[in-house]
Amino acid sequence: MKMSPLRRATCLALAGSGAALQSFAARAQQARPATPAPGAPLLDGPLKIVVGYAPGGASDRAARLLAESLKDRLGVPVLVENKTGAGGRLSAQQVKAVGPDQNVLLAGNPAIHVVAPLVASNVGYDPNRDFTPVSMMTRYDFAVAVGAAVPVREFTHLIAWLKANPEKANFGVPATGSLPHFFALMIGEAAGLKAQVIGYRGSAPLATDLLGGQIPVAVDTLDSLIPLHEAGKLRILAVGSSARLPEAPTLPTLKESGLPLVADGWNALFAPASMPAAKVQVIARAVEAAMRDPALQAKFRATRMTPVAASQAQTIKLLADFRSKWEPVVKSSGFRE
Amino acid sequence: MSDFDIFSNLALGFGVALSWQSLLYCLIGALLGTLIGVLPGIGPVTTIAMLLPITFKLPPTSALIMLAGIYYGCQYGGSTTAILVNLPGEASSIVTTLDGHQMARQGRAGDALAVAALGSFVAGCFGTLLIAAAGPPLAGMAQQFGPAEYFSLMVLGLVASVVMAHGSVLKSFAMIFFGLMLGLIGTDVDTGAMRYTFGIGELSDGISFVALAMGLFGIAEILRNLDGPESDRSVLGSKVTGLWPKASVLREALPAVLRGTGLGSVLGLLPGGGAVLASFAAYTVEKKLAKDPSRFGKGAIEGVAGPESANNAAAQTSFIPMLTLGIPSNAVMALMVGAMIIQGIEPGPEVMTKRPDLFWGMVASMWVGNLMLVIINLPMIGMWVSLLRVPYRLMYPAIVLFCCIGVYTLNNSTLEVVMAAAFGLMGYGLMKFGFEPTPLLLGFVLGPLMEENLRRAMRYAQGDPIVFVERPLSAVLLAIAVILLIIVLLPAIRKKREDVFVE
Repeated sequence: MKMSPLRRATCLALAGSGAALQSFAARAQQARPATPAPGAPLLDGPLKIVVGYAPGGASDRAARLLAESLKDRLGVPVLVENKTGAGGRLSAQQVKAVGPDQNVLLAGNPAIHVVAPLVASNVGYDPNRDFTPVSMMTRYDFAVAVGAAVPVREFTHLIAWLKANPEKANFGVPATGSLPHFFALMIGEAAGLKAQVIGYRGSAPLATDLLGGQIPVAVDTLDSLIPLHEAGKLRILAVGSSARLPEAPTLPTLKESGLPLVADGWNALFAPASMPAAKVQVIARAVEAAMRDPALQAKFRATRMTPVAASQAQTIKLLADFRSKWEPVVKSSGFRE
Repeated sequence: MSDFDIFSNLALGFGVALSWQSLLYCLIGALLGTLIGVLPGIGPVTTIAMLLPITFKLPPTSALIMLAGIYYGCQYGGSTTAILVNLPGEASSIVTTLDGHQMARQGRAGDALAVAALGSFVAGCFGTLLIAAAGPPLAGMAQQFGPAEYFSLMVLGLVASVVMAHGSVLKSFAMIFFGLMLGLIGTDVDTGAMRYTFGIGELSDGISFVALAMGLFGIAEILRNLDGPESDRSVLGSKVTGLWPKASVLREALPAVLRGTGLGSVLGLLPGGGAVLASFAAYTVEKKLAKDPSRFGKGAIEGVAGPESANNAAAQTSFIPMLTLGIPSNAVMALMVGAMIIQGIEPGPEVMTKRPDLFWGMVASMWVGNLMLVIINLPMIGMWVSLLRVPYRLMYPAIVLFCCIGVYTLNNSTLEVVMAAAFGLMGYGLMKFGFEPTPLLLGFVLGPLMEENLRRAMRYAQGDPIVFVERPLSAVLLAIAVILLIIVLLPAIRKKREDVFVE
């Protein structure tokens, strides 16, 4: 791994990353009047949203909550199908291949659209050429947590402690090659630690090892860590957002703790490139309107997801920003499959 | 927690669980679970995944009671196909095929099914009681199990699988290593590198267990039957004797049930391979304790009673990390966590205090559900056994059909159906040459867990292998493995291993 390019990418490119998404999330809170349900269906047939992960996961929950609301807005049935496998890549391959006569969307995320095409030699799709961004759904944050037995209460103390105990500098992440993995690398770099990043098979085994004291530090999504933090089983020392989060105001940001790092992730809908532009627009407008609906927003927040309302043009912009910030980080990490 | 608390909590729980609504959903879950357990290939993960969206409309307690019912109901049902047609639907019922199916072939399917159901009931009751009495401390204990301990446990499990085999030791080892090699296929958990995937996306998550098991057991068994003379195929139906076990059979099975329950309760706490190991461990223990181990693999009742109790006890205690900490220990629990979140309940340590009705209601409903299952299953034994009289030409195509549906629904992947067929051919070939598929499957299940924990333990220990003997629990597990290995190898070396001559 090349040290200095990563650090540069980290500090230059990522300072301020995520601020844009966060501001959109904030804007989504200012409710506009929702479009009334139209009488005639806006689509020629049922709409299918393909999710690359198991039911009940964040991506699936977002798609299903949205589907419920879209059904009334579009006037057609909206189905959610789970096509699991290869970290979501199989779902992208499936959606890429559908014809122009089918109404199929992909529930996409940074793993599918940004990281996988960079680290794998052949993912079987081109994130830019094969898909049209439709609309954002949600954003999510990352956090750094320590097990209850780790004798530190602040992020800066953690860094000092890890420097004093270099053999303990193991950062657990929910999956190898995930955004938390790269974020953990960046944190280690920026803090000047020789940290090992250890990939788990999901947040559950990582939390188990963190609680049992098998690993001292975890970098994971905030929603998977916060219930255990609130119960006092582990301690979140910092979040990766650009400002303190309204849903967790007591948690300091990394910026406050002296590291100029900001990162977040998103869930968004994508259409296959074959879908006619007019149809993409119809769906995009319906999704944006749905995401502005306070009732739906409340449902998202109740399951610890932050709704984001953005037009298709705004979505394209947000995705481009995200890509330009993360691509150098992923590339300079030297990580390849 | 004082006794008074448990009783008042259980009273609260039964208040919830005995409402007509809870009873109804518990019954639906138990019935559905039994059904999908019986159908080869369709497991609880697929079913719960498919039903999850429907549960959004239900009240949370009802939804979770039903989903839990599907899960443990499946453990009951899974033994039925394992015994009757030698087809394990789940990793945890692989061992049940060893003696259960032999019993069925000897016309003792009724005995095997009844003991499996009663053993499961005893185990289910005990497991539920354990959750109620000591859930949170047990969850804490399970966390003390680090990567080094996991690795040593997996080593022990693999050694134990040699003990289970009744053929040549060399062939068992060969099968274990073959299983380990198949388990290598997929994404490297540490580096993300693709291993032996040949650019096929479906292979990046490894070979599907269901495709492998359906092929090696289901399809291979059918091929073998087709291979033999036609008179052999109807053997199952003709010799069925009593449906109800005699008291002597139950007496014989009881100690095995209790041992299996104990082992299963402990191993079920461990996330990942816990439940699978439980049934294998129970079988090994029974075979080692038996006065005449040569009966095993030829229809020993303890070989059904032990593992069946163990897998059901493990199914119950595997709820503990999920219920007390919100950390799912397997794919089914992960789906249930998803169901909770969608219902607006944040899974975690606070469920017990914030939603005691839900927590204790679920615990109580598990006991109710286990009672329902035994009531449902015992009278159905007659029906299941009579299923064996269905002519071969009708039953076996049906099994193949269900296998294909089951394999397909798992990931909506046709490639996996093709793989199941290929493994069927492979299994047939292995059978012809006297290789047993069970050690292969165990190597396949435990291999990836073993590798992951070996590498993780080594990384935590800065590459020093002393960690495996430095940690007391790990050292004990490895010591048992070594002793077991010596016990297995000694007779083989002296050419006295009784089964060697049977070959």
